[in-house]
Amino acid sequence: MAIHSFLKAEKGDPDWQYSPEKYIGKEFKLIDANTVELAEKQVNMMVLRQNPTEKELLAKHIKINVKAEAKLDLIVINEADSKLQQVFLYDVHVEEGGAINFGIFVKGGKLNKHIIQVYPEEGSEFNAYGLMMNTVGGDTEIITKTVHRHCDTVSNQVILGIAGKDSQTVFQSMSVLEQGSDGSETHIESSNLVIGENGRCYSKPDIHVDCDGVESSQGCSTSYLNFDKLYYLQSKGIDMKKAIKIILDGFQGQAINIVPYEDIRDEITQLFEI
Amino acid sequence: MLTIKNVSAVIDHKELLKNVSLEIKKGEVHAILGPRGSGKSSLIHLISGHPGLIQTEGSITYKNKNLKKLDAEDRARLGMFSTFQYPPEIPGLINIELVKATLKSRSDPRNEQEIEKDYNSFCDLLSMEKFHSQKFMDYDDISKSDLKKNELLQMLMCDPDFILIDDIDVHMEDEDIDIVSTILNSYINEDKCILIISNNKKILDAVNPTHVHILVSGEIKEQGNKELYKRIIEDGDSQFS
Repeated sequence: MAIHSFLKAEKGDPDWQYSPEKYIGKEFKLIDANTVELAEKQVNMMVLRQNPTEKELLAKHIKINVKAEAKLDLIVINEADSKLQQVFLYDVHVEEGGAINFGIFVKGGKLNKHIIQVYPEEGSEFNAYGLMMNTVGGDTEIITKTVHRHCDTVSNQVILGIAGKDSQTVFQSMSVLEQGSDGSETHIESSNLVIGENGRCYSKPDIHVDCDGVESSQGCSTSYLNFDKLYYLQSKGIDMKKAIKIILDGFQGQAINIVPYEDIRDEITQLFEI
Repeated sequence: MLTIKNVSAVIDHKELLKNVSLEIKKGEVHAILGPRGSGKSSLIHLISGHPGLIQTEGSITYKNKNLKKLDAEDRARLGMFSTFQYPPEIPGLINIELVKATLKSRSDPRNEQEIEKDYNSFCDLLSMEKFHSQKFMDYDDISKSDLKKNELLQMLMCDPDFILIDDIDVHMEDEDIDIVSTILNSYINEDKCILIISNNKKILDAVNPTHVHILVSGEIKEQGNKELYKRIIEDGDSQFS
């Protein structure tokens, strides 16, 4: 199975070069695996909800193929409990002139890792946005690798992370503009909020350019739920509990409000409520 | 309305205020001037209830209540409002939502439609087009001058009894200082009392202080009427050193 060999990838494998050292070469028992072909019927919206709670180890491989000139809004909603270790691999192939808006909202897990590999064809577009949060003492990760091999391709990524007490989020994003991807553009942005003691948020946006006439940008920031912000709100008359909610809602809203469907926005808002 | 008696305060064991006494009555406007780092902002934060500032001596009472026992939100709910010199950035914040939460916490009787109507009117008054309802605070796109005006916008929405204004003119463009001066001048009346920190003559002329205090190294060195601020501004900061 592809997922199995992927997880057993050896140190030095380019797909793993940005992964935390401790996971390299570690074997995962394959309990569950499935393959999903999306957009075969030219659907324009799909929500994947993945909330496994009973299994301790889980791996899934999801293939997403966006047909030429098609547009897909895909939203992944995933919650894992504090004992679960899971890895999801998304293989995203966007055919000529196609576009995918990939919303990814993941929460919790001992290890909750989502790896997105993207291969955009000429004139196609990959937009990723989302939010990950870990407040259960675990590690939630979103790792992306976008390989631009054709001209006039676009990739945009905006991923937010929230880490609670003794928890961690990781966003590693590599975008490669290979020879032949002239006229393409890639943008990676990451923003984090640490809300608990010993919480950690890692971001590593990484862009490699090997062609001409491309546009690229990257940036990341991390802030803390600190006294200054709380005091500012409290000095207006707002109590501590509400002040924390305003700060969290504002932060999360930067990703959640991109979701184009109100009922799904509500579902995600509820999922990420602390 | 506010009485400060022999107050001293520290932050991280560093003494910031020493034996400060002030009394502010209804209808009075008190201006505090002084060099950078003299404790002016600390005084406002102490009154507002900053959790890091510890009152070591003296007492502060507002509307006959001992403020030492009250958190920042409880003090605000008594009718005071602080405008911040450096408002913190809260990513993703929708300003109108902050205003609604603030008003709700202060038991404001207006409904959502009335709040939005007033809010948008004040945005127009303050030339704050980027702050109209339902817009995110895009801090990359908002000037420091607008952030300072936003403090005034929130103050106008709350219509407090006691206003603490901390260096509102700092980082503000000249035309915005004119707008703020005009608004403050027309806003002040005999029902309000104001404690304002500013070294800007235009702002001070607009609020027309009834009392002026000069704070140096955490202590009040001189007190007087509006002639005092005019002299201080004319002579410049060098006199403090």
